[in-house]
Amino acid sequence: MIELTIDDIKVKVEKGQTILQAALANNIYIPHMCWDPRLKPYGGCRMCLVEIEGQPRPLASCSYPADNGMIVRTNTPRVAKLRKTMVELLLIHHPLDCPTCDKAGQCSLQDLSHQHGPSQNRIQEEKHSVARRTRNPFIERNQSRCILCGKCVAVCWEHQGVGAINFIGRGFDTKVSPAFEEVLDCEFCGQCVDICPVGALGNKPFKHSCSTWFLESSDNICPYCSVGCTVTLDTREGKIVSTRGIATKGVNKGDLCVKGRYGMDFIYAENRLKKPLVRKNGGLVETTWEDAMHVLAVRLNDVIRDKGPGRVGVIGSPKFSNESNYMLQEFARKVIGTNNIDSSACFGFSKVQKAVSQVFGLSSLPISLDSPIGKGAVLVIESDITSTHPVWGLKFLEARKKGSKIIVLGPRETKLSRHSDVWLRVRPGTSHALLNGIMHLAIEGAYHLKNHMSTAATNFSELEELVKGYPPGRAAEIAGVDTDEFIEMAKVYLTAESRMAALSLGSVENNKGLNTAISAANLVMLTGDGPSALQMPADYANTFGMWQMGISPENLPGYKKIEGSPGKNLFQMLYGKKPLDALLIMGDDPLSTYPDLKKVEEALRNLQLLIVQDIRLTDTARLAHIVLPEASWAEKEGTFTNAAGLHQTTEKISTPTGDSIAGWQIFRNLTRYMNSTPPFESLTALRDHLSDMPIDKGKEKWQYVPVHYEEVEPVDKQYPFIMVTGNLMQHSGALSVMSKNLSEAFPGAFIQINDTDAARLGITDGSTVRVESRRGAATVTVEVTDEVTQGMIFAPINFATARLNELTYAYEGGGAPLTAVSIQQVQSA
Amino acid sequence: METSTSQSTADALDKGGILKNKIKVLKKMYPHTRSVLLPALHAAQQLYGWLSEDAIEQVSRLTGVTTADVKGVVTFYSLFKTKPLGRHVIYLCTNVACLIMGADTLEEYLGKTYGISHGETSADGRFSLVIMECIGACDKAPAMLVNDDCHFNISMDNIQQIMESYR
Repeated sequence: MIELTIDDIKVKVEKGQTILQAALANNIYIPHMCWDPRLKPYGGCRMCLVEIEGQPRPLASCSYPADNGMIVRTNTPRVAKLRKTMVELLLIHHPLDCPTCDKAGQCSLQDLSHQHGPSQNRIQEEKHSVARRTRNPFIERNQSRCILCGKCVAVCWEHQGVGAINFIGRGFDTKVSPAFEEVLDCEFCGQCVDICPVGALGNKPFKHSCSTWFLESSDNICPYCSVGCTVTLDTREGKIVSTRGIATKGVNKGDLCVKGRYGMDFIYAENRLKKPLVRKNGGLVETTWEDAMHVLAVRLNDVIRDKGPGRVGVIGSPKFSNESNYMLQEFARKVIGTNNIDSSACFGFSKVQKAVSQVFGLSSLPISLDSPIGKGAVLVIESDITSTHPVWGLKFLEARKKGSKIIVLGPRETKLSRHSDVWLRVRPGTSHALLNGIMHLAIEGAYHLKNHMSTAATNFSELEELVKGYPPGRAAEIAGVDTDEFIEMAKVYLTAESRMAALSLGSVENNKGLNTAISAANLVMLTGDGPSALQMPADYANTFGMWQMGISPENLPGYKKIEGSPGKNLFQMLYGKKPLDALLIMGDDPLSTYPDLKKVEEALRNLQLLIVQDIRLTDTARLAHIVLPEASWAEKEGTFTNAAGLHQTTEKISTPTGDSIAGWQIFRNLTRYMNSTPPFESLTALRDHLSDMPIDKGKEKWQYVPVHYEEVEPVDKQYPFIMVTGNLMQHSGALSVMSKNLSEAFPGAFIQINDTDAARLGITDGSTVRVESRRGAATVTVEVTDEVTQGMIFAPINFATARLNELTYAYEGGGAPLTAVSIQQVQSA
Repeated sequence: METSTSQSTADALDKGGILKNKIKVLKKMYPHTRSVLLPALHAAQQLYGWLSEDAIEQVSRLTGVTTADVKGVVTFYSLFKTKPLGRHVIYLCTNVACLIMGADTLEEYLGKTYGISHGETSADGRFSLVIMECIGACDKAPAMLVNDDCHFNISMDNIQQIMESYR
């Protein structure tokens, strides 16, 4: 620790902190503009000048390290005069168009001018007059207002790893711009907009919607992915008009991605449900809650009485709160009397849960958001983490800056592959074989003997036997990579001081299966690193919480195992030989995201009773007999549990749409209509119960599960391409498609194909193609790119209109359920 | 995407992969890829005569420095050409020392003789003129560069002779 005196106050800070950090940490304010805690000090604006005893000249406190015994004065007449001059100089070229600037009221330059600036400028010079650039969906560049502090350039490259903009030109003509003044086409995280101290970079959707001093701000938890970022919502008359990240708040500390920053308008989507709907004479008609509840109770009771509770199932939602999900399973188990409870996680996160319990004996394995930092080597297994968990992805970039080696296995170019030390471009779905290959090399090189745990675990000899079958040559051949490169990669991983492996297993990702997760778990155990070295995040905002709440055919709330036989899982409910008679779907749209669309549709159409409870009229809801409107995120209170197992409450900030009510209320009322007693009468009682709920952590017991690499649907002459499905950074599942901002910017379904393949097949960029698999076909726009490898097609699955999920299939086994497809051009661009 | 088309044109630019090989050699000489940027840009300029958008894209891909960053560096240094110039480029210093020693008369001479002012190229494509900041030869002012050659103590007496040596 270092002790120094700032403005006669003795303060203590860690070594390596700058004077500015020391002051801010002790509530001493030093004006600053170009400094941000996430970035390297730049020292450009000179507002943070301070006087240090013994130093002849004032120094920039943002870049000068604090030292023992230092005596710092932040507000002497000398620095005050300098600051005044600094503001005066900054204002020479600034257009001073504050009345029409959206930043007015939140502008650092305005604030500093007010505090320090002169009332008149002694210098008259040319004003900047650069044309406004507005031809991209989210970020308006108004370079006349720019003070060239460089924060946007630094955050874009240093922190976000994109580097879309830079200083172009020199001297007076310098401006911040993309390389060739082209229309900005980046990932639109909007970090530059938040960090801009003036109005040079503006939030386009917010443009001229209101003056900042009329805004009310409140914090909430982002409803998109499982990182659980804190978003600061600016509202005007109860309506969300903009979203910001604030550096001191939440797990994200100011970072947000494009969905979090621009996607919150989904709650104002036109297809939001306003009233309960009941099917009468073939059509869905609006009705009252009383009527809908009555009809529902009567019809549901009929099914239970005639067919038995085992013929009824419910589907929970990874996007809805813990409260809604808990009440759903409570209703299913206590009122209906069935354990037929599952969710879309059965295609994704349930596999993670299975792997964790089989290999480590644990009931869950929350990730740690800071995990990559400080690790010697980080292995990313066929996962586009910067797209699926953008803010967590930034930690990987930070880790690399701090010296970690990033190893990426994957066929598609991603942000992490661009920032990796080693990138093996494997064939889709084959990383499992490489993991077995790494284990082969680990045992061969005795890397598994670091501690006794790895050889003492059950089934060690079986694993040893299995990985003998994966010598480097074979593993590399399966994965389609060079043997020497593979050995080199394995060496980087195995010889590192500390290691970590990360993979996402989202419900729409088909390039990994249960076996990939198990194999990764085997690997971290074999190298003696243990469960904490394996990071497998849940995908959606509340996937982790939903599981904990007992949305599973096998587990009760708190991961407690069901005694006796488990209920039906999703595979049996929708894809089995004997589908159900009644189904209650909460907050999910099987028709748009579940694989094997035709089968799902058939199962849904054959139901005697289909109840859909959602925030909008989904395709599935259109088939339903009864549709119940649930209040959305930000319209009700709730709790989300993020991938790290952290419970965070979401607040109610606007009034519910139409007659929609919170999910827990729907189930409480429904229980009454079913002539039962609700377990909770109020939200407080429910929350008290949830916070006291015992969590069965499981008993940690390491056990290898040796699994062979398996190719589920091999390509052949008729279907020569492998279709990989996944999410985009800008879209995930059905929620983002509701956002007008995101949908306008990233509108339609498309697939990516390699440029060499395209040239061979005569397919041109932007044309329409027909993709066909053994199960169905879809017609979509094609993007020709070298981002994907040859023989592969990448298909973002979230656009329901394209019906790409007609091609895919549901697979309960351990392999990766990749789809073999053919592709042909139907219409040129 | 846009990158795929621009990339193929950028690839077509580097026939035989001359630049690719040059940068590969340069990369081994520097500890960080970003340090390779300046020599790589010089190599590209030498090869193509000037730095077009395609050339910048190509350098960006070969060095791993983002396009915006490369363009930023190119526009910062006046020795990098962002448009095609004449066969010979005159870089004339007009900073204080050179100015006092008569750089303005030299500029006037070049304007009259070849019809070029700052940033322009003569009609026959022989000369281009770039007015530059100090080139560090104040003791031998006025000074100028023609292509890579330095010329010092220039006066109205010897400038014609210097210019004649560049055909």
